[in-house]
Amino acid sequence: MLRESMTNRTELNVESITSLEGRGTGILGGDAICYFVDAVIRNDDTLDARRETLKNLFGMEGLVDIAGVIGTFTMQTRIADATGLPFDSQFEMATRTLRRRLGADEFQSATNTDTGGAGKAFLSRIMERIIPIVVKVMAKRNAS
Amino acid sequence: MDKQIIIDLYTQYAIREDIINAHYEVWENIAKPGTWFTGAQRVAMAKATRSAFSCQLCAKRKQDVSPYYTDGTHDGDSILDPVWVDAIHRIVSDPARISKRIYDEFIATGATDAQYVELLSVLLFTASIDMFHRAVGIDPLPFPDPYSGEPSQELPETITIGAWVPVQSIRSTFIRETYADSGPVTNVIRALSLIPDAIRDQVTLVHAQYLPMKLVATTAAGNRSISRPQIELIASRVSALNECFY
Repeated sequence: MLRESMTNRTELNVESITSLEGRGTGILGGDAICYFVDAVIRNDDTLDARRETLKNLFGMEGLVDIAGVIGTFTMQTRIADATGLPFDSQFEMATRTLRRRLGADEFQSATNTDTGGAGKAFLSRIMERIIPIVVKVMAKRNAS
Repeated sequence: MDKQIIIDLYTQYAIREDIINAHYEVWENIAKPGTWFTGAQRVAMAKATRSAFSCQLCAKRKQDVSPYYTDGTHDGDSILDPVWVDAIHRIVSDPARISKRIYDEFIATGATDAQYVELLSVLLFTASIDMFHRAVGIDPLPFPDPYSGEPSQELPETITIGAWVPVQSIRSTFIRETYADSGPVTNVIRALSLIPDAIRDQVTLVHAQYLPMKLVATTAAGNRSISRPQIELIASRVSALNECFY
């Protein structure tokens, strides 16, 4: 999401990712996607209707692609949290502002990562300025 | 399990061939002797994983202020140690409150860190494929019959990076070969490397369900029918719902 928040031409509402409602993401079909993901993870009684909405928006092929990403991150999140995995230092330092906006520092699994130290704070300020430029160059290369 | 069962089921839903192949391969591997567990034990872990999604005790615990407030028995019979079953159920059903206590209690049964990683890997692959099925709207796959045979007991050289379990160095031959075409080797793609076969299955699933490893660190979406921003929104939303800091 860090990459997308830096390269998307429209204004992304990153807070919508952690909000309960998930409205107004700034991504095409984003609200329907969020509602669907919520229904899948919670296995609630809106799931069938949410799935139909997505099928109408993205087709069966799109639904399969969306399901694949849900399946993958059902796995990846638990890999990190069930092994007590610290966040890679370079990414930790590059995402401090974004994490504050998302409220991710309040998650229990945040305790697996050491974020302290003046040196890290200094490097973080530099990285948070440089990385968006690098990501935009990457995106331009992909587009060309 | 006969591969034709998956082919017949998946083609009704226009599921890509690479996902068919990946799910068949990983599902069969669950039933084979692993590194430290037999096929029967691994299938029992997969069954406990599926039970956890609808377990009454887990549902009650999830509502409790403390995840350790309510005692009880989990849904479903198992040949596994009850502490191992409890670990599986907690990791599956309450990911936001996973704590080191789960790992410590598992180790206190006399098991090893490598066994923890193998149990975790079976849980993860089962949960990943079952969640894919739920999202598409199809019944879960039938469990495969366990293969006979003995575990390989392969133990690679590892280092400590501050996680509960050791991992292989990014300079190890296995990691370098596995991720030769990838971008940076992040912690999450080597977290299971105490069990090399688990990394192979993880890569197989990530490649088919998410993106080829070489695209992960880029802004490209490969041949997917949804855009990269949409892909990352889904990934972020799942992570947020599971309260995953990583």
